[in-house]
Amino acid sequence: MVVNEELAEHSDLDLVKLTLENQENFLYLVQRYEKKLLRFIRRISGLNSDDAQDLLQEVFIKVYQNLNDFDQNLKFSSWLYRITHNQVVSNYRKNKSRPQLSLFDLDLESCESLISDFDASQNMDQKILRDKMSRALDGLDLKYKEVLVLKYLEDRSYEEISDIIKKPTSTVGTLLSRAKKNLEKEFRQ
Amino acid sequence: MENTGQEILDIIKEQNIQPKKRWEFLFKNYLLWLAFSLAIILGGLAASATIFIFQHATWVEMAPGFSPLKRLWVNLPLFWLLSLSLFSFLAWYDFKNTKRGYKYHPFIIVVCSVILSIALGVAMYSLGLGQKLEDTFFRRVPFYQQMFRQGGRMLVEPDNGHLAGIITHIGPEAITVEDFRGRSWTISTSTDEFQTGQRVMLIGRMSDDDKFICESIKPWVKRPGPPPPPMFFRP
Repeated sequence: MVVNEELAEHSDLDLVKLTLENQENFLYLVQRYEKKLLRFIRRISGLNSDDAQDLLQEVFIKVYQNLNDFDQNLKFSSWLYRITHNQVVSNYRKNKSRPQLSLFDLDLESCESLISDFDASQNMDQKILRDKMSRALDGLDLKYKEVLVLKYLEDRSYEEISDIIKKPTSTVGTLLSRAKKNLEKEFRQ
Repeated sequence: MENTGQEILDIIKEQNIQPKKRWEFLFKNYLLWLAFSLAIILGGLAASATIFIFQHATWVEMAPGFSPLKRLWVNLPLFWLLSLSLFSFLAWYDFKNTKRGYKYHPFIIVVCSVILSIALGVAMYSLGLGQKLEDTFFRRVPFYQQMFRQGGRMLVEPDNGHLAGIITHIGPEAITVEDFRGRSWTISTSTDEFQTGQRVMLIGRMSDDDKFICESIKPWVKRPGPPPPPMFFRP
């Protein structure tokens, strides 16, 4: 398919409407979000590249099937992340007995924003710091890992996280606070 | 990675995947609202029966010899309170699954559901629905009757001057009461104010020839009769 530059500039909502008229236009939505979603899937699921790619396909197919359910009161990206969250949780439940071995993919900047609240980075080699934080994140429950990723790595607001995980904003706050405590505990072990 | 979009499009085409119709999602959302409303209404009915029992049970006056805890336990409308809790839980479940339901804390939803049901229950009680419902359940639902009898057994202590049971026969100058343990008693009394099937409580004493001398007899709940006037219009 030839990429139409003009269509690629359209808003998410316009692309949703255009996809409902012509399925070929779904390509633009996929192209706009595939990298972000793949990174999100890998960050919270710990799946390897191939499995994450398969999951991403399932996510986009779900998105396509449910396009008519898109609530315009939400940001389209929040709705996409919500579907992704649901698929990851469902995949996690299916494969709970199978341990995930891949380490958390973390850059130093994200790492620093995560540990800014607890003074743990002093005198620590950057590589060691990153590895330690990756292991600490991997050791967390999915629900804690996910809110930390959404808040600190995906830079989502409380409101957006609430829309993604379908919990009240007050619960998001509580989850984040517990997640940070657990992360610190894991980090210091 | 570069071909992800095209691969997805190919799968969609090959498997002829179509977006679900908008009405399917709307229908699901309306169903949830309908189920929520139904749960509130049924909760309201349970609340109206609860209010009716609390307002009309004569147990406070009738059981001075019993400990407050026992009186409360015997007369607690457990069935209706459990029903109210169940419907409030269902209301919460339905509401949280509506489009924006997740925005609200479960505690807020449950409290609001209970308040809505109680408000509706007060209105239903004022219209006499609580009385009708409780009476119908006692007459038609064996499980409810069994539960009521079970509690009533605690009030059957003829040696201590207490009896509770159901009127099974009304004669010209006496009524027959079958107590909640299954024993029949003939009580001499004026019979105008009673009806067969009515639940009553009696205070009196046992005579030497194993008869119950009744000093006071009161209906468990005030029945039959017209529904009580709306609460708001009472003096």
